[in-house]
Amino acid sequence: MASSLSVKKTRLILGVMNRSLHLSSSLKSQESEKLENKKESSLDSEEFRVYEIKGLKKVSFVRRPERWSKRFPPPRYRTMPTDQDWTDVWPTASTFKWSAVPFPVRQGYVENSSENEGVIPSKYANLELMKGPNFLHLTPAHVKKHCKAIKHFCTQWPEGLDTDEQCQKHFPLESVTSDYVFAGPSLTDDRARVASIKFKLTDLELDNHARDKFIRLVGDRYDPDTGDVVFESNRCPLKSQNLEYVKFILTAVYFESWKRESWEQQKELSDMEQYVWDQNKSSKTCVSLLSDIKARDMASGDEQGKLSYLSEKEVDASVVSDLPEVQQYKEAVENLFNDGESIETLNTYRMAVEKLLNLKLDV
Amino acid sequence: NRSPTAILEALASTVRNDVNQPIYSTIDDPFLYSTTDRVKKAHLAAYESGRKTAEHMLALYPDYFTQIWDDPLPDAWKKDSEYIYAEPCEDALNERITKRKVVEAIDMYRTIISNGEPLSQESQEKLLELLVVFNCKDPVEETDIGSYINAPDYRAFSPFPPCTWQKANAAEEVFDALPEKTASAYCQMIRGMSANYHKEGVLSMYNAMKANKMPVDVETYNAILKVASLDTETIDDVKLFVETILKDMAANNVKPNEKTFISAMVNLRRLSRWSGAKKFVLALFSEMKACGIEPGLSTYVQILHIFYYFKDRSSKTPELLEQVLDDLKGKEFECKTENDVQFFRSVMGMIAAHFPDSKLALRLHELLQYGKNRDLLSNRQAQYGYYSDLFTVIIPLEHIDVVMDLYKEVVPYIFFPNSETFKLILESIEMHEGHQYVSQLYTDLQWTSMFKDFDFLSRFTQTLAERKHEAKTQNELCMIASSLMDQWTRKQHLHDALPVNGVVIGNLIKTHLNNDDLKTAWSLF
Repeated sequence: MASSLSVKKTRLILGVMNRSLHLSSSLKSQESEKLENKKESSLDSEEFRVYEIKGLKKVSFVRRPERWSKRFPPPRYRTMPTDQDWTDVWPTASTFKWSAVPFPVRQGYVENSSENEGVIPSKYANLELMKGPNFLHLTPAHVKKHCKAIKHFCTQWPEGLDTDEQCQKHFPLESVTSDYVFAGPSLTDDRARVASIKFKLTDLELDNHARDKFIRLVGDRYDPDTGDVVFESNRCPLKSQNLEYVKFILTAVYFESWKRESWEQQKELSDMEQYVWDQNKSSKTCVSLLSDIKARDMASGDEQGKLSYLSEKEVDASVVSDLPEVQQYKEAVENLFNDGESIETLNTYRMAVEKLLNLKLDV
Repeated sequence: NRSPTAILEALASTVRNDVNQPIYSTIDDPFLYSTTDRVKKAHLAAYESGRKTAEHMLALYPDYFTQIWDDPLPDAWKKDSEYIYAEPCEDALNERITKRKVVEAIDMYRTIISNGEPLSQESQEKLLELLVVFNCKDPVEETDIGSYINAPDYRAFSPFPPCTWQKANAAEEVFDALPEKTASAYCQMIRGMSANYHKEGVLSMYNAMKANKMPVDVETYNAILKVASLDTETIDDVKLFVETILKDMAANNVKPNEKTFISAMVNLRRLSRWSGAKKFVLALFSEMKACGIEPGLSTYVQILHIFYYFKDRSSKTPELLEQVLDDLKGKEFECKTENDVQFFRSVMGMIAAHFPDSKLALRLHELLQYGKNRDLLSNRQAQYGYYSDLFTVIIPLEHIDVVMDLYKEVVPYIFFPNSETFKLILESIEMHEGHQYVSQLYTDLQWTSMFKDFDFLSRFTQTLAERKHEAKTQNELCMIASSLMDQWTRKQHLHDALPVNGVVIGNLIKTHLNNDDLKTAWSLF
């Protein structure tokens, strides 16, 4: 129907272009003929033209020929024998290959059951598994194989270096450097520049002043818990330069810490790194308190409440501080300030105070 | 006391390169596997062309690639095209020589000569060496992948290789202009001419050297021997030539090495059909043994080629081959000369052509698997040909279990057999009742379009339907049959459908009947 209409249309158009006016009347007659025919047919069949609602009737599509889809084999892990040598399958570090890994493994996060039906994604094309490093190239079998290959390069461990302490004694300085090997747009890696040395503070010859000065100069490169000092540098372009620089730093700081500058004498009580009882107010308070107590004792004449260890002699600061009770008190106070408050230090302080003031408290 | 990379090399030696898995450098995904030889070649060629395109782009648009990560840039990555010396002088010439820019070196040389400046003897000799090695043309570098996938050059073994040395070329020009013609200059010329099969030049140079009583070194003698067979009429001429040269060597107290004898034998290989060749080669071989030189793979390649030429259909005896294999048993070889890599492929070809004895083939295969000998089967074509012949020889004669062991080791990633080989395997399966292997064959065949061939499909289905088996195997066979039917029904109307007809369906029906599966059988009907 459609094609016949289009043919008629083209004929009509041709007619208009080529012929003169009097054909238009013939065209009109053609159209009117058509209408008459239709009228006749409709009158004959006594039916309306059927109106076709789109979507109501199923339309059969002519199937387009399927494109040849590449048939690809099943993944490799299906045909792997269980006694195969894994070191051959995964000899070097490589990205996670889901088709070559014979065990099921899942990774990922699903927020709710609409994502992947609530199931954590499997290994097929799992980007999360591919992103992180896998150590399938360093299984025990691999390590065994590698050790066997490089064993003949090994030499005997030197004699006289059996324990860690001996190693520390003979080789006090430890230097740490890293090398990086990989293929990329650049063969070099910035991290390879870094060089550091590590040693124990006790291995250096320092007196009290030098030690204090060294620790202040070095700052948080010194770890008081382990006693290690670490100097690290990456400011030079080459690793060897960084190593030399770090050794230079050590020399410089060491000799600096032995020097006494004139301004160091201006060190005040608030600058002291440790609490020393003799120099602080606590000693003066203690001495004055004890002398006070002694005076009261002398005056009162009460035998019971006396502090027996205080002698009859004149209370003098140096004499008093030599007394064992006062020494004990001094140590307790110093511990409190230097080591911080803890159960042990508080207890020692309590004992010391009890002894000093001859208090007998019921526990 | 050890080299800086010794540990890395030791670790690298733990990695095997002959495992039956896809080429390690490719992405390991089922969609991207390349199995058949053609696909493998296409895949590797694609890699290769990608790299070349990248280099080409770098050369075309250098301005867009300005990011330099390394500071300072390593020498190997610096652009070659910039010379330090642009003005004509001796240093400029030396620079172009070290960078192997042959054409530009020639131009520079000519400029310097026309300017009338003096050049040292040393530079001139270096230039001569460059020209002689590359035959006055810029070298064409073949990459690793290229040498793997492209066929090697067999020109040297054709009976009368054409002379590629141009008369009065730049090398001769330089040689004539040398202030002092030293022995080393003569030697260079001889070697260059011999590499380009220019026999007259070689002889004239050699005679000049002899007249001036110059010492000739071993490599030059080897080069002279290489051209012995050109322009000769009979083996006796060749024999005379070779013997003269060897006597000259002995007279001048120059010790021959393995390459000397190989060069001599290559001549005979070119003319292996001529009478007297075989006798003479054996004589050379005994001479070699007498000199105390250990024969390597290359020597045996030449000898075997002379005795067992592929196209020679006359009857042969395998004794020589067996002796050779006995001699080589338990030895590990390295790639020392260019002919080493031909050994395994050629010998397997000989075995397949002349005496298809599976024991010999398996012995050769054992030798291949010893130590690092696998590296000597390098080229893709060599690999394909070797395994093809191996299977052709072994399948008819050995039990199916032996065949399938080899099959598992190699198929589908290292070697993929063609349809003829598969048909042979199917025959063997039928003969030895190894139907449990059919499923593995089917999995591997899924990758190919071999089922489109009617002969093959009917043969395959015949194997399926042959007889009734035990339950497990029969089930597998039925699954295969159903899968084939599925494939057919899905693509029935397409032009690349399986060519299923009465015979095939009959076989499939039989398979199902063997499994007592009447329903499926009837539905097929």
